[in-house]
Amino acid sequence: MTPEQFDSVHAAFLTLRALPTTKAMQRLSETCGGDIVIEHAVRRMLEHDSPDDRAHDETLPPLVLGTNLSVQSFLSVAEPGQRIGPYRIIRLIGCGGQAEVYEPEQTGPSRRVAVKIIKLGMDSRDVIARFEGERQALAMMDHPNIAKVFDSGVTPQGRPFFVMEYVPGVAVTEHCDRHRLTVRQRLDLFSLLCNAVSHAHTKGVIHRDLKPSNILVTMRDTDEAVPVIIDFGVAKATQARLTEHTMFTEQGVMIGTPEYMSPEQADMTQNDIDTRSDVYSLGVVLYELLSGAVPFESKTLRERGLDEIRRIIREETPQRPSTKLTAAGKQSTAAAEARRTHPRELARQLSHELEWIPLKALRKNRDERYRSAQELGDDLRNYLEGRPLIAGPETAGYRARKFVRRNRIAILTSGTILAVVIAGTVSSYVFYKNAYTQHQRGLYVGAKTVSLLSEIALKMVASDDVKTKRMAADVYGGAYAFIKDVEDTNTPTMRSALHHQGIVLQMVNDHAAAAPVLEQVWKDYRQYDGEQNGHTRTALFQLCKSLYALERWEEADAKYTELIRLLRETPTEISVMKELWTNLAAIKRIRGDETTARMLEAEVSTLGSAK
Amino acid sequence: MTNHPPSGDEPRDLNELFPIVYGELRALAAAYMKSERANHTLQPTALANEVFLKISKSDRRIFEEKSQFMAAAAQAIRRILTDHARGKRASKRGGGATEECDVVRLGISDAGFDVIDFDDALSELSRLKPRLGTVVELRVFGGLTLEQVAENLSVATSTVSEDWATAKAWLKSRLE
Repeated sequence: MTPEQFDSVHAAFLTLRALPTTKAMQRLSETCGGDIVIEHAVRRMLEHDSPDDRAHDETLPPLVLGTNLSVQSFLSVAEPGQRIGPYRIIRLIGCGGQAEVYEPEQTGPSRRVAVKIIKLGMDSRDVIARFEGERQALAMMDHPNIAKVFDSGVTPQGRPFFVMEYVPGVAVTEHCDRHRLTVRQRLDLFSLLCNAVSHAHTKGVIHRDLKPSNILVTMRDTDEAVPVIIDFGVAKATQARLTEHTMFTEQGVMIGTPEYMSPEQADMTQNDIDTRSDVYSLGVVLYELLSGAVPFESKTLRERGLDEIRRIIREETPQRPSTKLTAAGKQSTAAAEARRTHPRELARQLSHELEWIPLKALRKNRDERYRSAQELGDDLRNYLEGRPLIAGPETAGYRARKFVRRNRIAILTSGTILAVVIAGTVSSYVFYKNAYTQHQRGLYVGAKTVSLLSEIALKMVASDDVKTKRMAADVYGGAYAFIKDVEDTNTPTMRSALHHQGIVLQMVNDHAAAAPVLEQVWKDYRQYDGEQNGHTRTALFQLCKSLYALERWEEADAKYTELIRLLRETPTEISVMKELWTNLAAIKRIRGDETTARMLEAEVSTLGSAK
Repeated sequence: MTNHPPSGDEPRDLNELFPIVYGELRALAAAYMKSERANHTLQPTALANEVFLKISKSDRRIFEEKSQFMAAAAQAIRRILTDHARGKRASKRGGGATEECDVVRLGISDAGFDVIDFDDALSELSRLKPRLGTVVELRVFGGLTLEQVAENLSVATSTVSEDWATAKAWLKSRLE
């Protein structure tokens, strides 16, 4: 049921309950406006609207409500004054479903500590043993963005506890929204986290439970906001095997946080969790920092049963952040405001390459994710500095692979092109048979062919061998030619294929070949999508780069001037503007126009100070 | 959960107040355990009032108004009960002793609902209409009368009365 439907339920119920029962039932359907979902809910509610309660509603003493709360339920895991290991507890500073965090009397002047006590019934000896197993690795971690976990032990009540560095702060998502950090500021903050996680990984420590409540932002010395990851080592000790035991009780009640859990963690038969599981969780956090929503809504997850949650995490493709944002209505305005921008601008910024990054981190198959937190951080810097991304758009190739997987055809593990083609063709045929009209079939076969070609090209782009990579451009060119042949108009797929050809050529530094392709695709985008379209501007931006690299100054001058004109009309990242302005100034100077060069350089310095 | 103490003069929101109330409720229960009242059942109204008195004595500035406190208290009581019930379910696996379950009652005619089921249904209600969820939370876990709820939310008593009727019928139709 949607909130809108519920509003109708609320109104209809109140109207009908004022009537005598028979009359209410007669008017039920009419009052509910013919919506059977609403009607069903209201009927059930009327049946449960007991006359006893009606009489007592106004006068009912609140004591009757919520009765029989046993004292036991309210017992805390530790009390002020109590000793936990070498520490005397002062007060509770945080609480959650699985643990409570206490502030102890500090023993030394150097570092403040907090004591985290695990509430759930777990075998404390196991927890301690697992923690001991990782203690050496934990001790080797030394990073400003990682809170140290010093020790573990068992409370007098037999509950496991951890002693960790005390971090006064708020969850990273809350910090960013509270201070209305821009997308760029969020990315800067997030790349620090990638470095920290990467540091832990090089020491052999996997976090396993990265989520905003474990990533706190704290103020250090000079009023500088510093993100700090807490609980390294704790998750491994408390959920060595992520089984029903920790995630669900036997009735299937959820007690953990599935939103940030990687597919391989959700798959409880899977025991080998590696660093790429952390990459996934970082991807979820990044997705949330950018769009204001998690890929799979908490409510949706919690409403489903255990198997369904696992299925969603393992199989459902997350929506693109920009799509999610556009669909979020009012919330998207709030999300945009918290990022000091407008919903349309935010969606544009996301769909323009940025969202490829979280989506790559969120791939179901960990081989398709970033290989490390380091690589994820590198790609963010690529984005920030306007370089081509490691992540690609989630295009035909990826979907073709998904399609093949869904149809349970043998999957290419060897990565050979032949296997892709065979698997794809077989599954195409299955789909083909089910498509009913000739026209649909035609469209389908076309799209399929293109997606297979993209699939092949994507594999080749991923190759370390420059020659193979270069060939991917030819495959994209082939795809373009193929569609051009069957379509009588220029389609988005065609433009995409051509654009990819240009991008790949640029990637292998073949600017001479890239320039005409990029010029063509820029013109096509401009004609069909408008000059201010994100793709149009991207293509022009890339064309500028190639012309600059080729030292074709006259053309470069014209294209840079055009691009700068477009960017003046729309909010743009200052770093990108700086680069463009500086390059154009250099071009002007080379072409003997010293006056304009100086003017542009003066403008660059004001850009810097505006920041 | 944040590793965050309420301190200084920053504006306090519910998130920061919550650990204080939560901690006090638990400390109160520990005091009960030591006294002869150990086997008694607790009433949300009584609990909340006792904690409020204690906190307002120790630090007047903590809560600007009692209404803010009640919201935090109701939420804390709900959370404590639900966590406890979930913990109990989890430890049953290990063969722990079963104890009397906490139940939630919405009226004089119902026998009481399982705390966890109730919590899930209430979360769903809050998704559909947040105000109705708050009304139920304040009334059931905070022990407020309809008038007090109205005052707390700054809406008319008639509105709260209607909200409560809808919320109750909807919750019962889902839980029974």
